[in-house]
Amino acid sequence: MMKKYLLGGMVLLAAVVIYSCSDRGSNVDPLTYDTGLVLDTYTQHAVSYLADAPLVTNATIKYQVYLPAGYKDYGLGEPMPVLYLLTPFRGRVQYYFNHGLTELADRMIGTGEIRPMVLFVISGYNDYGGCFFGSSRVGGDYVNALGNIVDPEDCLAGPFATFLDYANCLINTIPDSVGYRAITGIGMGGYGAMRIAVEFPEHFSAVSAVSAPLDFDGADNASGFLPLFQDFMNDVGRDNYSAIQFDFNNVLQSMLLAASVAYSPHDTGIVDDGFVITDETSYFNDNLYDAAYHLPFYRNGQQTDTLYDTVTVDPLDVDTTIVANGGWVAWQENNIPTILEANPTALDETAVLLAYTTDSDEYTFNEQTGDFHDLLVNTYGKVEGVDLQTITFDGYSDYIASGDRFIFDLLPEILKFHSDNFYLSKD
Amino acid sequence: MGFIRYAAVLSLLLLLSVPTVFGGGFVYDGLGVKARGMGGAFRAVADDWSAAYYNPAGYGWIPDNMLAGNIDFFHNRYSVTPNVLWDNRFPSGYYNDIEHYNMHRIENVPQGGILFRLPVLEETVFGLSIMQTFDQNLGWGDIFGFDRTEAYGVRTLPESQFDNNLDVVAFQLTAARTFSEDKLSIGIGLSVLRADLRMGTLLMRRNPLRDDAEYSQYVDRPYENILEWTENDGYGMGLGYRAGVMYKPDEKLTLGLTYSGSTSIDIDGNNASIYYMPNNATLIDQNAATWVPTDEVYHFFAGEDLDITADFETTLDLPSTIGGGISYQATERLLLAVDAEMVMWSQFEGFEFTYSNYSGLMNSSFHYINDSLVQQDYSYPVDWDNTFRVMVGATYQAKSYMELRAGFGYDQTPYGENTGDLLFYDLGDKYYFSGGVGFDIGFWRVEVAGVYTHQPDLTVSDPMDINNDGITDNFVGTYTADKFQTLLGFSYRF
Repeated sequence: MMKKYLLGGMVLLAAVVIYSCSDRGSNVDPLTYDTGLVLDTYTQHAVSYLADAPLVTNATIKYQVYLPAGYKDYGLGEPMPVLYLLTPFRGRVQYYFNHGLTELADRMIGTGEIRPMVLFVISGYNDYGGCFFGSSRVGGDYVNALGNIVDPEDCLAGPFATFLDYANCLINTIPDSVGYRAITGIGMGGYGAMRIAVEFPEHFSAVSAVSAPLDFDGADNASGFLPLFQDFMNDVGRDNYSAIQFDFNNVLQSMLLAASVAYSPHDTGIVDDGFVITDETSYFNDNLYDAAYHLPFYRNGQQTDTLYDTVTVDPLDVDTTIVANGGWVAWQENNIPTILEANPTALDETAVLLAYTTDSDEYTFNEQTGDFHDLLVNTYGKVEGVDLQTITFDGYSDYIASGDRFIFDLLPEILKFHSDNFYLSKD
Repeated sequence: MGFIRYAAVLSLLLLLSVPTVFGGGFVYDGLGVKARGMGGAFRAVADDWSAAYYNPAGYGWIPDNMLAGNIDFFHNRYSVTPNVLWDNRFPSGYYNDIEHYNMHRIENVPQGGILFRLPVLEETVFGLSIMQTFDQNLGWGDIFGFDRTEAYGVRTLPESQFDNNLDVVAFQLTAARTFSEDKLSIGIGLSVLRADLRMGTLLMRRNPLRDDAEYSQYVDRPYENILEWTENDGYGMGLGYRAGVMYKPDEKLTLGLTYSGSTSIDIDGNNASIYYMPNNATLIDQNAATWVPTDEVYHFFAGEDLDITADFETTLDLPSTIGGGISYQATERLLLAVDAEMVMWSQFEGFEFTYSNYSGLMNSSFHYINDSLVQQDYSYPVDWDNTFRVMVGATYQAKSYMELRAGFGYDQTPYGENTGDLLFYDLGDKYYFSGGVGFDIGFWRVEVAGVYTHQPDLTVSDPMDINNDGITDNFVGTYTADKFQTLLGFSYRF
């Protein structure tokens, strides 16, 4: 009997030991999904819409493309949808990739969170810091260059009139399917994305913008860029024109100068398309790139004690000098609410994502985006959760969500939004 | 009898053949096979070598000289499912929502003692024992992965990302003698303590470039913090003591009382750290004209791993304990015992690591990297409460040569609300169940005991910064734990 007890005890002990000492391994997925392909270096391609712009220092579109795992050229596999990502001010073509775009897309596609898609990162960077995606034949018609489709079928003839003509030939997509194309951007790029979507709704199924200048003077017609003009002059000093920093040391100053090149260029005598100011006596020359443009806020031009007048800074102030200067008028022509007002149904069939920080954004682009959101809801009938999605975000403690700090966290939601809103056709 | 020897040897070989075993619990509870078999209710029993730990007064009533020892096998089966988000919102790089197991380690911890009855002060029993009194040994790999933080590039982390191997071994000289016609025994143990500490962890350091007027604009998420892996490996020596008294008011009843003093041990050794700097080739390229390797800002975005070594110092504060027990010889064969103990865990406040003699520093003009990032001390603060535990045990002399044992214990956790991390693992009030058997074979005794400890699941919901140094002092996630313990022992009377 004793031996039986002992034997039973030994067996029980052995079972407990074997169980309690077993190696449980690791549950971490080693990420075995396939990875996409990113061109090693960015590429640039000339498009005729930029060719005649005298203020465009390099009349090409710089881009870098991500091809998802499984992508195959025409005739070898299924066409894929395309998302265009426009960079913010000062953001170069690697901007999104160096915020994790490649690895993020690989993971989200690999795990099935998003459908496979081609990602075109379009650089808005130029010698001024950013092209601001204007539509001027002088400052550069980026809107047509990026949003228009002139001859999608003529892939061999070239040169291409627009980048979409080129991109449609370059990758295996459905060139005439709006449902296979979307556009997004942050800051300056968000403006470009929204403007292109508004002017070419027949080419894009969805658009998203993050803290972008989408309403230049805000809902109250007294915010948006307008306080920044005052800041600009405060930085420079009212009697010290030479203190303007044309290099990139001062972000605000260089940003407003770059936007002026895009929105209120001076007529160089080549074209006059309505966004060009012909006043030959008051244009602004930055002495760095020999660019001629007009500031949207008043400069007296006279050698008096006060070079800048706080009263005339307000462009809404009906001041004959401002009208003659014309900078702000030209800016307003580029303001998206103005453009949308002329084509109020432009976004009716387009899914829209707007993201903006609720923290204090350094250049108040978040407020402009919020005002534009309200405009879409209140005036154009966009319905939250139906054809409009909104993301508000903020930072924490001493790290507020200003500018593009949080794009790393927003990218997954942007990709998901566009993945969900691709479709074969609008029918 | 031959079968018993065969079975004992077989079970010993079986256990030793297991490749690894791992011990856990800051208070080490693998002392004494009989004591563990009785659930630790041994302070009023204390009739073998392990009385040096449970109650030194017990030596006074041990009639023979004795050589004894036991070996303890542990495997702590822990798991954590992280939910670490910066500010409770943003992805952190931790493998959230995945159940991770602690690294598979099995350790064996041998210990033992020898005691003699010598004619000193009439007759005094002296003992010399080697005991591990505190222990924590656990490691975690695959908790954090750069493949979940797409802005850092592909980087390699140490296999053990979080690791804490803390051992305190006491080399104790014990003396005990009886008084009052053998009704009272008093014992005291003086010990030299050696503490070995190897503690490695991942930290998120505030990116000091955020404070620079010119460059703070480039510090986008997730670069606002810089990941650091740091490991301190060293040891220190200290002194400790414990004392006990036992009293037998009658033949059946025994009372015991013990106290061990708190001790501070200074530990020093070597530190190795790796700082995983952000990787943003765009910024490097964009500013290629001015951001060159001789400029500090370059190194904040070049994706480098900065390897730094240094010397470290810290202090380990070990808690005092006070306990007592009652044993009662209910029948000729049955002995019942109950113990209670307070452990003053509030005396342990964690570690303050201070560093010196750095090597691997960069250009001395790199103020942010050298001064604000690398040459920073590290605090591991804890805010623990004193704990109380109760143990109940029994022995039954089934045969003249065989004693059966069983026990049960309840042990409070020192953790407060939201306390919990990967370095010290104590999830909540614990219950443990134990059993054992001892065989007397002539002058030999062979023993075995098994203990299962149940810990409740623990959910840590919110990050906590105890000392407001910007470094999170807990680890948000859901924790589970099971603990299996097997002890084998022998003693020889002479």
